[in-house]
Amino acid sequence: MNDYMLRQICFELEDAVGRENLSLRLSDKISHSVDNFWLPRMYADRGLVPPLPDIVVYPGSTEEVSKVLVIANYYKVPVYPWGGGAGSQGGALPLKGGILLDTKRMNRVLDFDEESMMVTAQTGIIYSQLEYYANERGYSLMHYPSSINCSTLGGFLAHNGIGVLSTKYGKIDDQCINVNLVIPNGKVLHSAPVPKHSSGPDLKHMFLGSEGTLGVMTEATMKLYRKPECRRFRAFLFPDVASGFKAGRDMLQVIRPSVIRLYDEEETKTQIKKVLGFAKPGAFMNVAIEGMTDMVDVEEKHMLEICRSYGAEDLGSDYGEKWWDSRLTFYFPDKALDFPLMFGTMDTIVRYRDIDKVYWAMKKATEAFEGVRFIAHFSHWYEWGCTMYDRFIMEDPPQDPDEAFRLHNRIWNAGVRAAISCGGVVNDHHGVGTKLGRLMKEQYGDSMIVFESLKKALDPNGIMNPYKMGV
Amino acid sequence: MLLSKESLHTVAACRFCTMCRHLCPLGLALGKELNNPRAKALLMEMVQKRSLDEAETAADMFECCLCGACSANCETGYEPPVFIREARGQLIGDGLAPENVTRALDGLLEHGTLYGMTGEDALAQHGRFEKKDAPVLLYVGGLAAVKAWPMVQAFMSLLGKAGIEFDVFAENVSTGSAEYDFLGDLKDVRDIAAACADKLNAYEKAETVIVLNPSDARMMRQQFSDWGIGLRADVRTATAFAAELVADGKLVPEKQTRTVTLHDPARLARDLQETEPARTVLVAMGYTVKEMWQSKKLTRCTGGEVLASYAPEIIRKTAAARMEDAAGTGAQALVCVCPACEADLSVCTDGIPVEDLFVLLDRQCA
Ligand SMILES: Cc1cc2nc3c(=O)[nH]c(=O)nc-3n(C[C@H](O)[C@H](O)[C@H](O)COP(=O)(O)OP(=O)(O)OC[C@H]3O[C@@H](n4cnc5c(N)ncnc54)[C@H](O)[C@@H]3O)c2cc1C
Ligand code: SF4
Ligand code: SF4
Repeated sequence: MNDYMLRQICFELEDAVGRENLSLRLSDKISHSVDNFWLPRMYADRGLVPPLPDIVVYPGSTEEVSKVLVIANYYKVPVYPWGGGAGSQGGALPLKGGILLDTKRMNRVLDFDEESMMVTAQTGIIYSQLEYYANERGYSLMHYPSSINCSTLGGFLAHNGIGVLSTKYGKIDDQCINVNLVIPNGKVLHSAPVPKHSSGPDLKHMFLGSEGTLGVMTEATMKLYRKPECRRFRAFLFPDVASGFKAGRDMLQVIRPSVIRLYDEEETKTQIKKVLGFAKPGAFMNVAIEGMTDMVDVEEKHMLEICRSYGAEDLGSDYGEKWWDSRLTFYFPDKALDFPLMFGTMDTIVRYRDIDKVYWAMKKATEAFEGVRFIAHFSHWYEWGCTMYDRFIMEDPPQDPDEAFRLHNRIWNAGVRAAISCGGVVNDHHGVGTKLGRLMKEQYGDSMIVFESLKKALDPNGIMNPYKMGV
Repeated sequence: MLLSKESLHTVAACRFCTMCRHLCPLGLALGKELNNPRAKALLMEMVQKRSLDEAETAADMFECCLCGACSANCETGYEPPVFIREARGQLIGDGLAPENVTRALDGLLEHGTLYGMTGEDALAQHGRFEKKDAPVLLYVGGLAAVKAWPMVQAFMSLLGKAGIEFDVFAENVSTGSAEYDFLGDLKDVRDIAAACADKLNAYEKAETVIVLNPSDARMMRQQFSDWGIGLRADVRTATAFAAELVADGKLVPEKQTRTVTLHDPARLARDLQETEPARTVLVAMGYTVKEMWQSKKLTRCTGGEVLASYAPEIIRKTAAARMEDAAGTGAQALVCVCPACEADLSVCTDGIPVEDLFVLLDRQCA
């Protein structure tokens, strides 16, 4: 952007959001150039500077966002919505320069409707702050992703994220009642005030998961739940992962656990060691059931029967409780995957019939690269299938940034293509971003026209978050 | 910029981590990406790798109140204030600190307080304090003398009511707490701390030093001993001392029915791990304490006197955010126990009344 245009656009943006809410500080730009995606992190690690925005703005309201988008649309300057910057797909990266729109000043709770059990908030609020707000009043949103402290309401909606209790309380799209979307012409679109209607398709589902490529969500209404009277854990060791799948599937026909986590034989070795103190072959499963105590008693009885019927050994409740208390611990430095490793979470979701196929295909495809290890567990269960939360890890990746960049993308291509070819999808809950955009066409083929047409209609100048989601 | 091994280790851990962003009082109040340890560590990382000039980070390193909320939440035990303090010292040493910071620091180094006068002169405005060689020595500090005199008066009145004989420390020296926040662990700062200790030790009859400002108490109790600076007397915070007087029956407050919420000062709650004394006093006064979610170890700092000295516009926001927390509890008043927090919150025009624990206690003790 030339100097004159920069001044002109800044002048107009300052008028929209106030001078103190616009920044040209290099440090501000840099802090928005690295999210949780491995590639920009690799850039920083290797002493390179990832792509920077030209301007950073911090609007405080829907109205201010609308003004920013109108200005950007007029000058045809890209806009990148940025929440907590904890996304792992490079979704918020300012790849083409332009305006970085940080939503975190929009952090207010707007309405707390105890009668209908709903809370409405601005989307820049950090999720745990929203959860504490509900907790103080005796409720919970029941969305407990591991990044609850890192990410914003808008970020989770934009990637259609998921929390650890999803098997009972759903994904974030199940928990969201309605949401708005400010589009580049400055108009504010609203989904219907309530879901589950027959007033045409639910617009909400077109906004959720759109990753900032259509506009900026600024306000959303979410469900509230009363805290369960009790939450009980139970761990099992299955003879193999296949019997674990069957038990999980059968449980969902009769009961509704909040957590089911099944680990492949590779991950079981480490998990079992934590529980029993020695290695034991098999597939480890951790289950949680919650609600009113008498109902939990009944659900627990069915859970035990089903697991036993597939030859599972009952390992008691200690493990689950420990896991719950320390569920965030594994995401802190020294415990989480970090440099010098190369790594990626390739979560996908698949029907029960195909899960074994997808698992082996992805394992084979990624482990074909020398030095790559593939591990997986299965979380977020439905009546028809479940999420495979799999990761590839390479201990000693190339130091050369160019080589590392190519190798990283080749591993991803191989893993995701294997998933798609066996009935999986590009991604389960982390989204597409810039990391996987190129693979969207491989999944959707001609159906991409739906996304592309929506993009063209709502964002004809293509200013919203370019090079993301494959549109 | 040459950072210590500990700082480099912390930078390497925090540079890509967002696990504590939900607690940073500046991040929450300002909504800016730069206001969390990840961003600051990323900048330091780039400076180390020479992909960024250190001058570009100068303003950012001073946008932090060193409250330690990030460290309190860090399950692997990293402490971002370590590298932030160190970076500040270097930026100041290299003449790169922002002008507002340099101006505040110059004043501090000249007067020993951030208020354009020495601590001794600040106290002298309120009267003369003859040395009585009492067993208790009250360390008021420049901040309380200038900004929170009603708190000091109330505390002295309480000591009188409890029959405690005390001296007031009216010397021309600071603990070095504010200097440490600006400059980090430098010889000059250690010298200031050592000079303070010498003057305190000169009160030979004093067995206990009571400190009104938790930052000064932290300095004396933790930093002095880390630096091998000895204090003869036992250092007590004003809240812990008052709670003990109530527990011992030396102060018997009349009970009143009220619902209040309590703001825990970051350094009192986190560094000194004192969260209960103020609560026991409030309960003894008949009050019901409604907790804010961010209370005790997870308290949300209002900004503090050092940040207030050069960035009052930030304090307006951090203090207002805290006021909102307090109002959200439905309590009738927000009770404070620290002169710095009270000074920060005094800029808020909206919200529930801010009241001082010692003033309330003094009012309820005959
Ligand atoms: C330690 C860790 C653990 C994680 N665990 C989980 C987990 O358990 N479950 C899970 O689902 N994810 C998890 N994630 C991933 C991450 O938290 C999610 O992808 C989250 O959705 C990102 O939100 P954010 O606010 O950080 O968004 P950002 O990273 O800032 O942005 C993500 C995308 O959303 C867009 N966006 C942001 N705000 C808006 C808005 N208001 N309107 C429109 N578009 C917007 C951006 O443009 C970008 O495309 C984890 C990440 C980390 C670092
Ligand atoms: S202090 Fe801990 S939680 Fe915070 S950024 Fe650093 S490593 Fe992460
Ligand atoms: S010390 Fe406090 S203000 Fe500074 S980064 Fe940590 S939480 Fe934020």
